[in-house]
Amino acid sequence: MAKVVVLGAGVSGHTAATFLRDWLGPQHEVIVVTPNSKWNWIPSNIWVGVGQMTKEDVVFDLAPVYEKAGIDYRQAKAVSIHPEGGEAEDVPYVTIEYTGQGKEGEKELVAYDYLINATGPKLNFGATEGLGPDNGYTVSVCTADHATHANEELQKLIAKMKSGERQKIVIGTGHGMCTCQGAAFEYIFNVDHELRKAGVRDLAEITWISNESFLGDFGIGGLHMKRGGYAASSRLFAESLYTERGIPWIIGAHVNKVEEGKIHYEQLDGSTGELEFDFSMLIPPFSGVGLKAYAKDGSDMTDKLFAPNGFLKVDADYSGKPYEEWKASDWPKTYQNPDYPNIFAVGIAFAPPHGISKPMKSPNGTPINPTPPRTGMPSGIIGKTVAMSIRDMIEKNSDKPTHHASMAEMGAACVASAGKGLTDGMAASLTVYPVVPDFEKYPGIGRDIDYTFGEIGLAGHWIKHILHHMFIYKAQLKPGWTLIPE
Amino acid sequence: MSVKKELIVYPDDRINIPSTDVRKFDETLFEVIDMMKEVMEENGAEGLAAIQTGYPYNIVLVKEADGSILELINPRILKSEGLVSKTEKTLYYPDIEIEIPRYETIKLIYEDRFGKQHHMEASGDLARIIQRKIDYTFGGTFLSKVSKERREAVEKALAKNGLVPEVELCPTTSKRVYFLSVSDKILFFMFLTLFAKLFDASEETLSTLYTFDKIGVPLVIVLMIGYFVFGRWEAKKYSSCTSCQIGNMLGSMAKRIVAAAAIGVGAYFVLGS
Repeated sequence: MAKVVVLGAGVSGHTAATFLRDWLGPQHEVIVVTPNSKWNWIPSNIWVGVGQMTKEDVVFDLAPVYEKAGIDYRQAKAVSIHPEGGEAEDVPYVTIEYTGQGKEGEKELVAYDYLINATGPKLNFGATEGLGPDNGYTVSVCTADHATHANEELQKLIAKMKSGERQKIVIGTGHGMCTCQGAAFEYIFNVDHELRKAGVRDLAEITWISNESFLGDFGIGGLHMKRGGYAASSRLFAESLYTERGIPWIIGAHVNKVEEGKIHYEQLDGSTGELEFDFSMLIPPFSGVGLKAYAKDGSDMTDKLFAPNGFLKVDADYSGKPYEEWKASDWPKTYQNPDYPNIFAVGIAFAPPHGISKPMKSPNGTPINPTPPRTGMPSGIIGKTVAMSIRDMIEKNSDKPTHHASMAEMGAACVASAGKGLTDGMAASLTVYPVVPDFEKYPGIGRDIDYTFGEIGLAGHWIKHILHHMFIYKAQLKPGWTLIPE
Repeated sequence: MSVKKELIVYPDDRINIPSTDVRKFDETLFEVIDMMKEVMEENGAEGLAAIQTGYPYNIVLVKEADGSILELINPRILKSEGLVSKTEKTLYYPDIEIEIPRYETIKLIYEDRFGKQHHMEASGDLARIIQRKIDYTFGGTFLSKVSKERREAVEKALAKNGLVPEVELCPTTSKRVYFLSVSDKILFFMFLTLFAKLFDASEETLSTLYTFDKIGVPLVIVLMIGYFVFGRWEAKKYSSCTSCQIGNMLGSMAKRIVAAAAIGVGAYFVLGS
């Protein structure tokens, strides 16, 4: 009998846990440890953030789903990993602290044979003073609760504009090392759409601020878009779109401080600036959730298991080679920890070997460039791949992972809406292949141009609606869920 | 010199290739820059992007007021101010002059040939040339800056002179529409079966029609999957085909699948009960 413990129940952790439960016989245990009681379809948080959906539309309770599936669910946060066991324990284990199920604050040891770290990111609002909804002045759409709060603030703003007050809105990224520019891009156009619907757009000054070195980078170095029969670079497309909507932009920017009503930033040329705002949604940078790791003798070995940014080390090349030597083969394939073969990390929780976008610094030495995206489709695929490897290691006694899913061999798709209507508005649907450029296989931009492009049109809204219902259906493990791809 | 010297002029779809950032600041880069300078001199150019010589690298050269050549490697425009329209010419479209709106003043960051980062401010004609050349590095010509109608008018005028871009030819017929045609016919007959009870049909006939509907629903779904797969394969040949876009194909698929599902549900209640 094997015991698989999955830390986290986001896209990758939930995928890994549910497939493992489906494949492994009842003699094996699958335990999910997550501090959350609900599963959240994060892409639709954008629509919650503008009041087009409610929190209830984008979340569901995990407990009944896991009970039906036969997964041992513990609503708790992981605190530490003990890969060699402890002084009193011979088997590896994790320590957890309950956040629900009537055991709040209780601590527990959970032994494992295989561990999947799928904790996702810590939303590191603390990296920028004054950032975030809890201890700062900006809102966020990163969680369903944040998005609900963002909408409440947006509605107050709209009410002020309806009474004739001009308002300043700033949307983008809240630090020089953020990812998820696409989410902010989607949010700014949804806000613009809502303000137009409310008839108050002329009273709003909307500004985009981001760490991209060119508009339309999206954290992946840009791509080609098709619109009205012509192909154009995402930079030219984005510039034309922002100009059409009357949205000025500030790029190559690191937001270093937020005060009430004021954002301070530094740009890649070393210059600094300030932006006033009445409403601001800035995406935070991500970091590891702060898990600690201990050796058998109790000594701290967090540095051995985790990279400095808090993400778990896997089979990637962490030698810190310079940009000109970055290769597709630096990226992990099996997501197995090199020191402890029974530990894997999936989704945002694995430590990337380096960035995807060109690393850039201001003359003051401040790094300002997008960090690698590992959300959504790649997260799901990686989760399932690791589940397949662990299944084979348990059932076929494989001594090493049997399945690979390098982000340098994997494509991804993304839909950025501008509104929610089925008959009005427009969306950008993007596909990228591979996610991590392979300069040896695809000389030039490192990607297959046939599969790296975007399209503009209403159909993107339909796709986003379909994905919303399809993935929530799949995550709820309803009949045929295994047939729906990641 | 080992690098090939060439100047790309319309029509040549290589101009639409997005350029990649220079990663290695070595002899090859120096050779490409030298070659570009020769091309500029031979053609009296005020500026040149590497892709205009067939090299998809993020390199821009511009002539400054004193005649010296400014080398901009991996340039990015950080700030821009004051949109002004002015008539422009470019080597890629030798006989075309067109009014293009561009920023009067820009601030950019770039690297020199040794990879050291710099920043500068440019205004007037220098700013205009830099913007035009940077557009080339992103796979866009100055026609990317004008309306679709204006662009089509220019391409029509060029076509009159026998200059037609091969890749922009979009097919008027496509074999993937056969999938749609067959699906539509099946859906039409499935729809008709819903009215069978009005004609006092026998139980056996109704049962046969219901069987037809039960086969029809998955058949339409399979045909739509085939339509999408075949359509994507076919679309690879045509970069500018709007009807080949994934969104359009998904829309066509969705309409027919929804129709098949609706008729299937209708048949279940009308014929199956």
